[in-house]
Amino acid sequence: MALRTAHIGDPVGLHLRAASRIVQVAKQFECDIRIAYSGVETNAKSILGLASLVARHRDPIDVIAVGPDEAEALDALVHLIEVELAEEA
Amino acid sequence: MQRWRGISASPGLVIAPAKTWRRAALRVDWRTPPGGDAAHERERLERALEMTRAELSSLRSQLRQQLGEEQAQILDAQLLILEDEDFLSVVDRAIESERLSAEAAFTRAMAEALIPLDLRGDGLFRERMTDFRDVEQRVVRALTGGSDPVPQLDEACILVTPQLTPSETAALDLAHVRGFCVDEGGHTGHTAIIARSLGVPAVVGLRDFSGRVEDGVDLAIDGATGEVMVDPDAATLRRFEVRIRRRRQAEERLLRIRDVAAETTDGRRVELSANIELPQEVDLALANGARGIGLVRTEYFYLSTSHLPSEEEQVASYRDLLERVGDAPVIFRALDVGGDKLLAAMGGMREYNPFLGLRGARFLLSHPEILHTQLRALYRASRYGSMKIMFPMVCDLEELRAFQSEAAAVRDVCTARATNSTPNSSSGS
Repeated sequence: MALRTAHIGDPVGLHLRAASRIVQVAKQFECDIRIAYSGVETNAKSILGLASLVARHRDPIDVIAVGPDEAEALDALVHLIEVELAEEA
Repeated sequence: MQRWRGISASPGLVIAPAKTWRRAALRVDWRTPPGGDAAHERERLERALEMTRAELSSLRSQLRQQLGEEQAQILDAQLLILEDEDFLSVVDRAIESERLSAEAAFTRAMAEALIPLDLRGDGLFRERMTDFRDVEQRVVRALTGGSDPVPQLDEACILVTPQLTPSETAALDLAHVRGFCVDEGGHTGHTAIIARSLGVPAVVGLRDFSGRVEDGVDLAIDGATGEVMVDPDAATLRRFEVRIRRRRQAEERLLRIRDVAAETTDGRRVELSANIELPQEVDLALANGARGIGLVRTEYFYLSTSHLPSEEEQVASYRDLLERVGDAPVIFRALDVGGDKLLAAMGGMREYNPFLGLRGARFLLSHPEILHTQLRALYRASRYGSMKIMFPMVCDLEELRAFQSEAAAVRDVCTARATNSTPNSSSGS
């Protein structure tokens, strides 16, 4: 199991388009990926699950991955959440 | 005054009050389907998801083309729901263990999934709800094939709506519609086709416009640029009226040469005909000087219903069209579906590279029941005018011969049945 904390880079917070990107990236990996924020934990590959998180700009969210490619998955997702989504915003 | 910009779907300038309309919430039958079993319900759900995916994907590529990738990504969340395994397993369980119909199971699972969003109640989350509800509506509609009553229109208006299905458009009293503003859709959608055929302006792809405009407020729309002005101020109105007047003058100048012979400079006479899709277009074509109808695309007769149109329904439509034309020649093209035009009535069949595959001639020859019904309807209607039949997308001589023998067989039967009438038609391709 691997866990890392990412801070929401997008000034608008975790909006729906950002959530979609997270799901799309998470689905490229074989491992199970969960995202935990403020006491709620959800499957990173489920758009309805992610949509229920109200994370704002700079809020910390935990990304937890379990499986063969867990390290790569965390790298990709943390980069997406902290950097790419902030740049595209 | 507020200014919006969408996608131009049909040119023209108009000022008229908005008539906003939102399809009523779908009604879902919660009872266990009579005689239905879980496997059957799961199969129905699978098909509905597939149809919805195709709908959303084509909408996405339209948006991408017209507004760019970033705007198109708005639809990704909706597409992802259709493959959200957590969510779909909840739907599956409800179908399996509670024997719910596919639509009831989907609706309930969605309601449950949206509870955490509903509890927050800020703007960002309401937007999500709308997006997810939209997917729900699409899936349930795909499952039930139902369409809802359309609004009663009793005065001139610009119809403002999130989306308009062909069957809804067909049910509208179009005489009062001076223009369309539709949240969804692209330049080639059927709203565009209808609006162009009616000669009224239409702006589509307006995102969430319909939810933000009040019923009855004045709109000024420019269908050519996709511009929509809400509650236009006096200066804008004046500018608009000047442009409308200039446009009318330009049209009048063109009408003056309407009856001049269509002739090349070396004296060769050209037959000027119009291509149309709807019977109502005949009047517009003839008023503008068409000498006949060179092509009637018959797809619209099929797309405007959720079932395959019966022989009687088709005879009525073709007859209406022929009577409007009078003596001038009309060429009907047999149904050309496949490719990008999927038949909703058939549940939308899918294949790889549909543009080159089972379409036009190949589609018809492999669906003789559809071909025969249409040919019978055409031959029966033929006595009300002067018509020819064209076969779509013929590849080789063999296909042409196959058509000719099908057509001859149907014609003979029709002629034998109607001994006291003289069918006045010939076929070509």
